Amino acid sequence: MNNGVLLNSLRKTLKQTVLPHVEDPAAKRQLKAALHMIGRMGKCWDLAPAVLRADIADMQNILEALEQHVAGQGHEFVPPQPAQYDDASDGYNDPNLAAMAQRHYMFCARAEGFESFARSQLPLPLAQHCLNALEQLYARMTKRDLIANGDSEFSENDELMKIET
Amino acid sequence: MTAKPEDISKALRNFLRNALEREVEITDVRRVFGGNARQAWAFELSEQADEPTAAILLSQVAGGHVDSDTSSEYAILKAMTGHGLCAPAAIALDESGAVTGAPALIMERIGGTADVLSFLNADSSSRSAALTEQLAIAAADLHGFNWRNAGLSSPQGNAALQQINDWEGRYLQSRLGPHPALTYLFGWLKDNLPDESANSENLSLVHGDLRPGNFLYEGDDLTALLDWEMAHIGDPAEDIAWIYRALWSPEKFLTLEEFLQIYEARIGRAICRRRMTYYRIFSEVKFATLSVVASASFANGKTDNFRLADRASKIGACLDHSFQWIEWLNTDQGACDE
Repeated sequence: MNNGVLLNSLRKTLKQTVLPHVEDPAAKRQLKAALHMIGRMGKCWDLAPAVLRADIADMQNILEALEQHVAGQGHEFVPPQPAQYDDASDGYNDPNLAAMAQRHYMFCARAEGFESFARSQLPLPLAQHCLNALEQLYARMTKRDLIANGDSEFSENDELMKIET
Repeated sequence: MTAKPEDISKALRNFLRNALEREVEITDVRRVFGGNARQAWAFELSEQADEPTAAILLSQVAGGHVDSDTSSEYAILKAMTGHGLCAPAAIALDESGAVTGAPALIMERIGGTADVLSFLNADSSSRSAALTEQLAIAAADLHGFNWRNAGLSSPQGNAALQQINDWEGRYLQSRLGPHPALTYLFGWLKDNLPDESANSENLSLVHGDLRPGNFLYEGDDLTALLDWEMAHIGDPAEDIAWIYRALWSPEKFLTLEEFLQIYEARIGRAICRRRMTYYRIFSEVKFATLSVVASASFANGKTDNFRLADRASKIGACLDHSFQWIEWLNTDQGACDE
């Protein structure tokens, strides 16, 4: 039984055998939210490596190209130092995956740093060229994030639509 | 630990006698659900021989994921009181937390339910359509309210920019790591600010969280708009965009275009559809930020609410909508025709 099967079975069993016996409204709300989380994890528990890998390759490709492009026009971008990102690997068991998460984190910070540099340091047409490329990069990353999270905005459990702002 | 009703009753009576400077009696105090961010107590307020007034106290709770300014919310409710708007009348402000230990506001309690599931999953879609039409009218009346005459202050500078800066501040303060797509969208919103100088007279009192779940209804009648903690002076399109966010949208009962037609007929002016789309993007960024703040609250141990724990998983959908609308704005060359 892999983790996906296990999580889905756990969710089904809790829903059928425990939820009906919980009477306290606050405890019931907590259990329903936990069931939703377990269901979501069942849909995505094995997707993180592929998404992290694709995001890193995409960010590396775009950022290196943009950095070279602006350097060719006399503007040097100095990326932030990776030493600040130690917390990024929390929660991972596989050391390779933890290293990949940290690398992802590093590229996200580098992308933010580059955007800030583009907005504040580059002449308008060059900045706009960079921002357009970043926008397309982020739209692609967002599509991958939707898959990696195993969730759409609509919950299968209607109760969870009561999202409080 | 939750206080006992008898303790709240006693503290309320003492507080209201001082605040209202007259004798009052408090009866039937009971805890009611006030959402994730507030603690609510319902009670009856009697003055001399008058019929009791149904009232409610809303208190901030520790670890709430939305920082709000109770005194500002009270000032807005007070300004609206007596003007025939669809809002509860303000009764008193407990700024020092004398009753519950946290700032609280006390207001009229209006009958009805705010049940969002019953509204969205209505067997009778005609009821929900009728309620959405009334919401359009209530929104138009709110946005047509003369807030300047009621003593509310004008925003300093661009109202949209103030909102963006406010939400960006919350985002930067709460986030647990870099999120370049969301950071980019804040930049995009600032780069594409609506030109308020062209229609500054249309700046309105904006509810800030107007949606199914934040209005009361009884049968087919909308009875009150609730939860004014995010109210501010801003662009009316902001409220309409928020009503039509996908998670709680009444689109299946009344399309956005139909809503706008009712709204525009009532208020007597048009809303530019491009500006509407701008505020739909703003709404997604705002909801994404609320999700960042909510999940950080859980991660930092400020709340044990599981609903907030998993909110980060909602961010992707917000950003995806935003990028799609930006693409639409980039291809649609139509200008505002106000």
